Amino acid sequence: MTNPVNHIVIVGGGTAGWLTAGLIASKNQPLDASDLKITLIESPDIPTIGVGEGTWPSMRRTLREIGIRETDLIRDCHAAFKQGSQFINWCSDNRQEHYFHPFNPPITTSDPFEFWQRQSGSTQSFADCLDAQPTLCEAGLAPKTITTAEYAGTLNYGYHLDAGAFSTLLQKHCCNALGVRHHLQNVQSVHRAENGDISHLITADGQTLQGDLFIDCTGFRGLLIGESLQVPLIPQGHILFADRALAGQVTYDQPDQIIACQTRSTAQSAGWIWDIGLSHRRGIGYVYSSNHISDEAAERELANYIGPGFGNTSVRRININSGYRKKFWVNNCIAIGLSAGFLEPLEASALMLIEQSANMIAERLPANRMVMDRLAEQFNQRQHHHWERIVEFLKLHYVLSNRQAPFWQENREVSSIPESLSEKLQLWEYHAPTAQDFSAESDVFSWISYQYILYGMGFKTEARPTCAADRCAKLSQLRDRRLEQLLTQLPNHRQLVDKIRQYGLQTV
Amino acid sequence: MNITPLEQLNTTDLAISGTQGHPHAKSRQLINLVVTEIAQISLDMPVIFVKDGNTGQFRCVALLGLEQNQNLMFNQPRWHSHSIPKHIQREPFCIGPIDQQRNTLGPCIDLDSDYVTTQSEGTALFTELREKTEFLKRVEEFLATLFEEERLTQEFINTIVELGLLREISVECQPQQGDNRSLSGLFIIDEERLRQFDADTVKRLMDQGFLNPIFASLNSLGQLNRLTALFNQQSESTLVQTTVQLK
Repeated sequence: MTNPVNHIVIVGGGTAGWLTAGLIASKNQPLDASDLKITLIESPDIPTIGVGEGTWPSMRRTLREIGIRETDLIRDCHAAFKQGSQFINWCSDNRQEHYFHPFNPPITTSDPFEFWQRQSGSTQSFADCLDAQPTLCEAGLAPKTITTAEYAGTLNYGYHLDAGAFSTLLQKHCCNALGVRHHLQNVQSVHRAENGDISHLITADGQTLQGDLFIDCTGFRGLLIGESLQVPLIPQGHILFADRALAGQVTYDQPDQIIACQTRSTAQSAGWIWDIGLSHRRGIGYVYSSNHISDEAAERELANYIGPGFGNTSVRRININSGYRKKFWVNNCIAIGLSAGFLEPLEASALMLIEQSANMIAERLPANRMVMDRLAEQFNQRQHHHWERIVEFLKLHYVLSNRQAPFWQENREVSSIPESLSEKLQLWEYHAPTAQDFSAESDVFSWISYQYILYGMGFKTEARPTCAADRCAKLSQLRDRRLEQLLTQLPNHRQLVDKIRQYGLQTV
Repeated sequence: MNITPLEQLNTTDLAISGTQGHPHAKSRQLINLVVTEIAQISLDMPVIFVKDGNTGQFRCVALLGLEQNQNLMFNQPRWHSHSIPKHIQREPFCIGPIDQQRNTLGPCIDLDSDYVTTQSEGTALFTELREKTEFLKRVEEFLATLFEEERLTQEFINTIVELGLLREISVECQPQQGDNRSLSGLFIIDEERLRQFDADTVKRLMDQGFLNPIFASLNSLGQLNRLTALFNQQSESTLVQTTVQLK
């Protein structure tokens, strides 16, 4: 049972596979010195899904750790900067409205709601009251300048990127710089030992691939975790109704057209449309519930959104199955990426969860088989907590809406709302969210994120004002001065991206 | 600015005057340097590195002042330095694009410069026979050398950037009264990193002629004391000290 873990086999080579390989390999350099071998085997025939084009700010740390230059990311993956999400027409049917969930921390991280509440005389939105970032985004400005070092920012940011190109960039780096072995081969069969562990794979060319730890990055298929180990998915479709996506790519009309620096998410009759700006095109797609709208009608809504350019757009339909595995780590097999589960990309959690999982494994790579079951228990517990919290947070966006179409009304039915969320919402009618409302475990969405959604969508909390007036005045002044400064200091987002493509950023 | 290639000048009655002391530089806080002059310039003023605001690429510069638009080295009518950076000396001439596509570089003149005159009082560029004067020939030689030195400087910058030799600092100016002021966005040679280099790397830097400028720029930080003294002579406020803060 104390067999050491010397060979890690990653099955599947999308962003999940290569990010996992990169994080494990970079934390164990050089591989030979630690007697570690990492093999990634991927099918030459299966295309990557290519959704998940938005990242969280955590991707900056991830890429720096893996050792990829930010300049290369911008150039090779047509990447642009993302400063948060903008939700358009989510609150009601009748008026044009929107709100922001920005990445930058608010000007006060101790009492954002109380500060905003004190300023209730003003018509300022919650997000605008707390930070300059929404205004700067709408002005088309970038979160940094050409003289800012790689991965540093004046404002907090993540990326919008081309997922296919991202896999290729990661692959090149993993193989050329980090010593990851790459096999392009179909897996014919998965074989298990008496104790249930995966012992080896047989590939289509008859080769045997043995390993000590197997990581399943085979996407929706779940070749190891599902087909071989029979770990079921816990469906979440009763909470999050979307089960289809129509994804398209739209080119810019003009080469100097503005690149949106935020993910734009616009509510529709039976779901919402994502709109993500890369340097050479936009990725646009409709996530919807097939119980509430036909595929044809959904396509019409998407065509409406895109406008005249829709005629030239090839649209791909993706069936999605909201849910996550009952366990993510069983025996010597770990599921990362779509094989672990899928939720609609409303808050771009897919890549973040991959980083999260891969980091957890890389930071405490099991030394041998004996410790694996205990580590698996920790891992499963933590990941379950994350998935539950993401489901709850995504549902919050729907629960607070006043839209009247059946899809939206049904989303507010009590039976579809997780109890933990209902309880919190009752509490928040009288007390704004604080850290106290959440478990001590590191949470993927902070209480501040909850405030952005709640008050962005017009939720009312009847709390006694507590933020002192003079402190409020000082905070407002600070924020306004910062906004004024940044409006002149920060460059246009498109111009910065073009400049980085031309000159590159410095590493210091 | 009206940068015109010397070859395309259609007037020949141009002359240069008033360049004595290079008064155009009176409010230049930073001046680009070429690698070949770093050692000499470092005897007079701090030689540091900054990022170009337009391209983000590193440039090697002399620091001439402790405030924006301040040149403490030039106190009309004279310079407090033994040598003057070539990019100051060259004015009103420069190296600029000489073709329509702006791909080819060559000797140019800024016709909007105060130094350019059509009066007879200056140093003429052309003879009465419309031939280049000795002065203009010397200018062209100077620019040709500068062009070559620019290329070498780019190689120098690329080399130290690739070797990870630059680290960020700020210069903290402590006045007798009031809050410290800080100059940020400045970079210097990372001495610790330099010390970790193996013999091959050091040999390569020496063969390229880059080792001397590297050490010269490091040592030139001591010239901040000189800038501080000049500041106190020329300015109404007084600085107690000026220190380098590693970032």
